[in-house]
Amino acid sequence: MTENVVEIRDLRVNFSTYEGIMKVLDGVNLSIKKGEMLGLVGETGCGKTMTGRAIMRILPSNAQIMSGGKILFEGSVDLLNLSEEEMRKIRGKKISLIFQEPRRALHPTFNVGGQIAEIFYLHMKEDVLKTALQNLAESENSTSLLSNIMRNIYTEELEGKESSIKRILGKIPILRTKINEPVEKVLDEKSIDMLEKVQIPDPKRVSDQYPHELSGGMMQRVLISMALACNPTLLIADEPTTAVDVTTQVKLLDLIKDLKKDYGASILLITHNLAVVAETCDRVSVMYAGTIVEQADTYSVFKEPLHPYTQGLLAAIPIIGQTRELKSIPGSVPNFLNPPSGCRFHPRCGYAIEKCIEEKPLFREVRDEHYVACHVVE
Amino acid sequence: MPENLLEVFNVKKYFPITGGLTRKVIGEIKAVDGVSFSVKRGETFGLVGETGCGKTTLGRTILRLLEPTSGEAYINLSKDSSTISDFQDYEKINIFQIKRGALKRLRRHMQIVYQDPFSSLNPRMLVKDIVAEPMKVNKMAKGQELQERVIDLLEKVGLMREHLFRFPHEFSGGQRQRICIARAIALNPTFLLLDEPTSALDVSVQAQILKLLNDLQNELDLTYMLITHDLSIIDHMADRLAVMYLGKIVEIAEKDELFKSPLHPYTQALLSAVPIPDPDRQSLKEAIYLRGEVPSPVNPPEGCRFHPRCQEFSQECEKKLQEEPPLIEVSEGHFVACFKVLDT
Repeated sequence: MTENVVEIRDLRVNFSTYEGIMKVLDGVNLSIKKGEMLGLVGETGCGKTMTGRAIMRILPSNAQIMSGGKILFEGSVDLLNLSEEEMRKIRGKKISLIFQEPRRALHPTFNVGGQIAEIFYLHMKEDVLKTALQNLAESENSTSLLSNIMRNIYTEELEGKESSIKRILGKIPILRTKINEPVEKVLDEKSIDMLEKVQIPDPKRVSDQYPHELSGGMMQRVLISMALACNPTLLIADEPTTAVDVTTQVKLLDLIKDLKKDYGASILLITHNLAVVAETCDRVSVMYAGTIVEQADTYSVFKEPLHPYTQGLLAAIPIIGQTRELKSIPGSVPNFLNPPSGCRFHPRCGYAIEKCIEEKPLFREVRDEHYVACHVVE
Repeated sequence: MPENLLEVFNVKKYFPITGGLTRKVIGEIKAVDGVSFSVKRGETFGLVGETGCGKTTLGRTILRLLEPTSGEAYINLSKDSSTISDFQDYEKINIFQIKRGALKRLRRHMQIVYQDPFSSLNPRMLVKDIVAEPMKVNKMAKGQELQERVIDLLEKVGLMREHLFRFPHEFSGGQRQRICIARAIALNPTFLLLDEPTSALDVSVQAQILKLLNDLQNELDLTYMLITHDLSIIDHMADRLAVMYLGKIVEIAEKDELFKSPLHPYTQALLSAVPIPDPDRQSLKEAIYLRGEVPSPVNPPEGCRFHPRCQEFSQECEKKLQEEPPLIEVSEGHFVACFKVLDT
């Protein structure tokens, strides 16, 4: 029995803007099973990224999560009820996010290694200190005065206390560097190890480099390594390959797949590229204007799409080696300020009936494990 | 009347890198480094390549929006298509040599649709002025006639009369790209350069724009040069295509031929890396991995530029590192620049 790592039930998010209230997410239902890769596809502005951000609880400040919705994490914890403090412990540790644009997600004035080390220091401080203590005990001059002092400091920090010796000695620059040296060394090793795992050539050199010295593909690898640093249960990858070329994309997708196997994490892959989803994901959720319209395994969605929007989307993409006329979906994506009544897709839908205008369709299981939100589908 | 509309020989475009107090030139970015090809009348010629390979620079150089470093480019305009007296006498126009006045008249025949419809439209101009501007500049129409022509153009690209008095920000991406297309075809051009016309758009809108471009090509007898990084669009639109890598064309062929039997190792790797939206095919399983990263165009590798990443690099290739592989026709209309292919 595979349980759901994340289950989103009826998530609604409103944005207050100068022009009025925008209902950006309007009842999102989504479940991610353990160890699977779920693709979340949809067009620009349909709310894919906001869904990912809602799980991480890093929505923009003008966003408001409406009551009634739930984001259940690992079956029991409702992420929406957690305090900011508790959330901070989950972010980056249990749920991590690979941002859309690597160039903007990395800090330009810190070296790569340092940025990865920060995560370890934040979430796995105990491990780091323990390793540092062990290293101290094993080193040649383990009986020297300095290492004794350091051992004292670390043990105190391990117990969660602020070390008074460190506070005093830390004021002297040379000593401060000396005291931190063992910890830094452990962090360095850990981050180089992480870079090696994402197959970066010469990780030692790269960890000393700054983001602007790296190519887009390399930066994305660094971000992946940061996301996986704490062995998360859920990895949200928000358009991880949109900014890179196809030859790099292949390598990144393979890397993500391999890491999924090694780490056993569930992955939510947010993308607008249907081809990428078809190649990599186990299941697919299709999103339109703030709602999930269809969710099923990849094969069913691509071969027997039920929702008219999914059908339209699939007919609109050119496929290599298939000469066919592209059918576009008439009209354009609706405005969130004043969305269509009932089913949000009805003005563009060829099958729309009266009921579609009046009533919002329920997200229901039509076939085995195949969910659709549409009145017309039997 | 020659079959080729556009002929390009050994075009180079280097951008200088300046440094120091005196702004001395200390290096060159070899964005386009010796490219030759021809575009047939009435076809869609695709140009594919990855980011930074010089495809946009090449396109702009051909239109002389950028001044070329060296090379030659000719456009063969038929006499009836050029209504300007200067061009009445000769058919073959040397794009890189003509003077400013003649260049302005030539622009009428060569238009461009830019990549990003959000930055290529003046936000302070009304749609009617945007579309009318090229006709005003070229004194093609004025007054009532101009107004009617603008409405006619808007309807041709699927917009309506009521859009005339709106500003670009009131439109969606797809509609903006339609305005750009209307502006580009306003002067009845012969040649249209499409520089990633749909890369900023969503798939459902992309299909609309591609269909519109196809319809316009049939209706107005246009010749397209389509620059893109998306091979599935090329497959859908182009008749022939060229693959570019680091400032050089590595392969030119008919579309079907190239997709079926790519010869250059880079083309093979590129094609194998394209994901296909069909769970049955799972094509990425056989994808060819390219080693390393694209080298810098400031200091491209010696000899064959692809050799440091080539999956078929052999000792024979190593012997020939002093010379660059020439682009040679290996079969009817199929050109390849690879020593390995030429040997066999």
